[in-house]
Amino acid sequence: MTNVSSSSIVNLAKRVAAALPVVVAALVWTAGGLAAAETVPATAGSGSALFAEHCSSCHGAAGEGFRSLYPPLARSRILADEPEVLPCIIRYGLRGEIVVDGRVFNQVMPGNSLLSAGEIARIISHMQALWGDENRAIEVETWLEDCK
Amino acid sequence: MSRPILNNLRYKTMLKLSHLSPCRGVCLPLALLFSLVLFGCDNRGVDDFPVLGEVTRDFSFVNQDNEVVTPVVFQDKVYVTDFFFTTCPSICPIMTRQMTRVYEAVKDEPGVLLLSHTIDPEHDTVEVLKNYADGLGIETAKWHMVTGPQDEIFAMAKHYMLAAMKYEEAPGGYLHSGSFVLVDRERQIRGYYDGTDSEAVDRLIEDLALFREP
Ligand code: HEC
Repeated sequence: MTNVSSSSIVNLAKRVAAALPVVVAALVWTAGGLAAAETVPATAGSGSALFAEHCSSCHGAAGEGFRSLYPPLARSRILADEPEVLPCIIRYGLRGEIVVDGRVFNQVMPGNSLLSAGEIARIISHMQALWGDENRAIEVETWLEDCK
Repeated sequence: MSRPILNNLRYKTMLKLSHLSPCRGVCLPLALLFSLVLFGCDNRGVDDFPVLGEVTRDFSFVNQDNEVVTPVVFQDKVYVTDFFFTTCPSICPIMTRQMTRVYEAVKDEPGVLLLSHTIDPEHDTVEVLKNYADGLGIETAKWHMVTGPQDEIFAMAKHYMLAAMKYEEAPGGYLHSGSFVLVDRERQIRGYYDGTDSEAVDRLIEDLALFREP
């Protein structure tokens, strides 16, 4: 009796010990996955990755803006009301007084000539999904023709 | 100067506690832990910071309020300085956020000033800097944002041992260091901090508290 149970305990212990690296590995893997999800967006070149690379340094990772310097894109009515001006703003920049979320901004946003029309489209669809109207059609090529 | 005194204090505290036998088992480790927390990590003084350089170069720039800024402004002050430009798309917006944290931490400390140089004076005129400072909502007397002849500004960056140069391929057209430099009251460089890393800037804010004491 005692023998059996003690040997089964030993067996159990052995099995747990054997499984430990797997458990640890799984934990590390999950933690790594979580950390990665927080810092590096899933796919390079995706809308969220492009936003993180080209927009968030000013507008904030969550589009929250900064003081009266960088407007909060999460609260911009352009996304829902006037998305056709977005490609022009992204490519050629923006200056002069604007009102976002009831606050006045009067700064200079530099244009970004490195982004292709496809990349601009992915950034816009990322912003629309988070803060705007995701059902709006996005026609970057056409909209770019009308830049002032 | 301050370290030996603290160490001495810690030694005495431990000695006394070890005489109280009933609580030795629990109290002593606790006391050790306590003294470690209290003195162990926080006994740095300004003497622990090597002198990394001396600011001997003269300068004369103009700030966002169109006032002339020379070394006289920083006489008997500790200051933090950096190089940026208002339309920089990459690291400057992050540096600005971090410098704003420093600003908030030293806003009410008369002995500490901030000095940001634009490396793009052609675009960043006094009016542009004023508008940028207004967007941040900062006070000129505490945080000077200066412009001037570009070669003078580049020479000053070099004097602080920071890189700043024109570079067509870089986003925005310039390559420059993202460091914040800590300069003490004797115009000696006492620290470099990565102005894009919030933990490095946490350290800068802590170190400023040491240097601002007369
Ligand atoms: C260097 C900082 C900077 C970067 C990088 C930047 N912006 Fe801006 N952005 C600004 C500033 C400053 C303004 C306000 C301009 C003004 O006051 O006229 C602005 C305004 C805007 C507006 C107008 C908001 C409104 O409601 O009128 C949009 C939209 C916008 N940005 C989108 C983007 C997107 C998308 C990206 C990335 C591709 C981006 N920005 C990158 C600084 C930046």
